[in-house]
Amino acid sequence: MHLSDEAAQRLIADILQGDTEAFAPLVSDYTPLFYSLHKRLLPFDTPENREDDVQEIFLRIFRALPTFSTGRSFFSWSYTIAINYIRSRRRKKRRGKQIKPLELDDTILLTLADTNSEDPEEMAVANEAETLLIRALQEVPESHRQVFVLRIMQGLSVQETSQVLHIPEGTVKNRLHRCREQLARWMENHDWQIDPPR
Amino acid sequence: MDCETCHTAINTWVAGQLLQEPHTEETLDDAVLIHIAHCHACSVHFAAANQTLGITGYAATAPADAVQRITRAVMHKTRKSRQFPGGKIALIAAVAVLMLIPFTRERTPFSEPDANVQQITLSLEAPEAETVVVAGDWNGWDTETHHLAKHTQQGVWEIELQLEKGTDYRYQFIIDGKDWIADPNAYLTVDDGFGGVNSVLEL
Repeated sequence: MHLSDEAAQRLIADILQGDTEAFAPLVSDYTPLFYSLHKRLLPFDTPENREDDVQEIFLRIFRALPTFSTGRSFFSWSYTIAINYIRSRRRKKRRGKQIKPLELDDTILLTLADTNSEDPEEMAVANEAETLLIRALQEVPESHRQVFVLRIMQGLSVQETSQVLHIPEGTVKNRLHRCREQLARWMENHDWQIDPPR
Repeated sequence: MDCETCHTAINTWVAGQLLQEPHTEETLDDAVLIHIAHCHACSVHFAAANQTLGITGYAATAPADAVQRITRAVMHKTRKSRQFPGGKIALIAAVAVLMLIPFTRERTPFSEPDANVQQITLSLEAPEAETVVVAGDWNGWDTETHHLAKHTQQGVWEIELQLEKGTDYRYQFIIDGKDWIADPNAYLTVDDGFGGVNSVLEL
């Protein structure tokens, strides 16, 4: 559960008045959100790069704080900065080298799915399912993938997704529906397995 | 029921759900659900279907140690960035002398020296400084706690610290609340991850 926008705005007011330490609770509170966002959008990055990128996201947020207008949602505003940075990282990676064949292995099992369960079998099932989903997401257009990750995996509302991506709410719903269809089709064609039997 | 029949049933159910917004309450037959409960592959299939449809929630998590590392690194950097408006870092001529001083303080008859603690003195020559503070691993990089005292007319600042032995400590001096510098005479430094260096104290 992240800080409420009201709590975040109080901290930001303190930061802008010179209390730099007030940034610490914001960072620790929002790190799981941006860490999981990064992991879902750049699943094949290394943990070291992931931590560096999340650090950079917070530094960009910090530098941009003077431009944050009170009354606006810090949640949506910070998410916009985060996803813009992750997009730029993705573009750089694409320019830098050929995309290698996507292969998931045990090292990138996500352990992110919320099973509300401590049953190891249920957790294993949820993790395998999310790993499969992340694999399938590589096959859909990036614009659709971003909507799906924000709306479904990160739990943003349609309105928040619309604000973060700067697209109309109708476009969010449309891309989400098409993304689900594409995911279901890909998974059905692959027998709902990362490595279907040959 | 075999797995193939189960897969077909789940695929049919997903196709039906995709036609409905919001999703319907329609569930799978009991026979399919019983099979899913006892078959790992089919339970993964069903879980992936639920995640695709957004019926199952997701958690936003990060490893606890990663959260700590990220928070510490970000705060270290923001403290420094606040101290360096415009990126102008005044280069202050400073010579630091690190002296490891044996624990020589006179002890009371009833106090036992703590063998796990070592007293050290950190010194920095900074004649024109108004304040000198040392921040490091031992105080969570706090810039308010450990102020050095000006001890000589030559502008040598000193502080005595008692630190636990058997640990490496990274640290920097902060001059006049804005200029972060590594200890120029420290025999060991490491990259601080932000383009600068930390001094290292090995006890």
